[in-house]
Amino acid sequence: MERGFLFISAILLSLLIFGCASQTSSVEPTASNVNSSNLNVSAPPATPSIKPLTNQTNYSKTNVSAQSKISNNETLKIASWNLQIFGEKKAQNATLMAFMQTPCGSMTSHS
Amino acid sequence: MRQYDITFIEEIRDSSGTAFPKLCALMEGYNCLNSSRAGRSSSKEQYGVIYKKVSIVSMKDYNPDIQDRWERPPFQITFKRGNYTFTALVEHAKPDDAPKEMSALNALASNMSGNLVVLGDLNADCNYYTNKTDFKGSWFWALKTGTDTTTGNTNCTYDRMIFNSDMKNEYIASGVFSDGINSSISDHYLVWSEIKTGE
Repeated sequence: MERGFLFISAILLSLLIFGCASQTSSVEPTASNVNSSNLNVSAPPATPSIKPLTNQTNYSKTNVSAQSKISNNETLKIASWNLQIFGEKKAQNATLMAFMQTPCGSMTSHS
Repeated sequence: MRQYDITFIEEIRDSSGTAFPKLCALMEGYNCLNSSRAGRSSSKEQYGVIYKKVSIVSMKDYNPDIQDRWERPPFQITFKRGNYTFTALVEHAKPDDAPKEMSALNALASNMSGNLVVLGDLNADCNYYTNKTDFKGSWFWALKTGTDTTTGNTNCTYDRMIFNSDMKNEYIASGVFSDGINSSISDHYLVWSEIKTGE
């Protein structure tokens, strides 16, 4: 009786974990299923490495004038951003810095 | 910025010189470089470049400019990826001097050959730059006038990416990234272009 209860509990727990994982992946796209995911690194980092906080996400709310049908291996994406008085104060704001390195539409806290 | 292979940063205003390296330290897999501190007043600015997939062939810092043509003289970097080489000229124009600075930038860029893109917060729209007399003819303005590049209430295209006739051939797409960017982060959105380089 007790074994049967434990067995059923284990099954229910597995289903719960699997369900959460599936739901998370549909909300937060993984690096493999987004347009800009092909980020092969050819040069070594110039600065100490820190793990990225979040996965890549897609280009939401961009005004794309033409759609790329070329492999990311053959293209370069060039950006320009005026960070408005980017100095010590902004650099000390961990939340702000996290957003700047991964502007994916949601602020991610970084302690 | 992780969505982009090369990001040019304008308005680094940091006498301690620690802010940009701190940002770079968070960009795993990227390399960084920055220009000298420029500006006529005590308030100085630097340009920063965060890049990967490419190597630097050469760079030129136009600061100090003997002719005093720009508040923050442009920073020129030539990149190479495989057999493809291109040069970028980044500038943050002084708003009230935008026509004069754009004219000087046009003169400089017109004497350069090869693949070239002129980019940055050029303040090249609305009341700062109404006549748009520069970068005419074969130059290609990737972000169309009327594209909103700032968080304010206006629809001004202050931030620009302008390709010369050579590099225009590699142009694929451009856009503005605005998601989540508000005045606490910057009064400007990120602008981007995608180019074809081959392998």
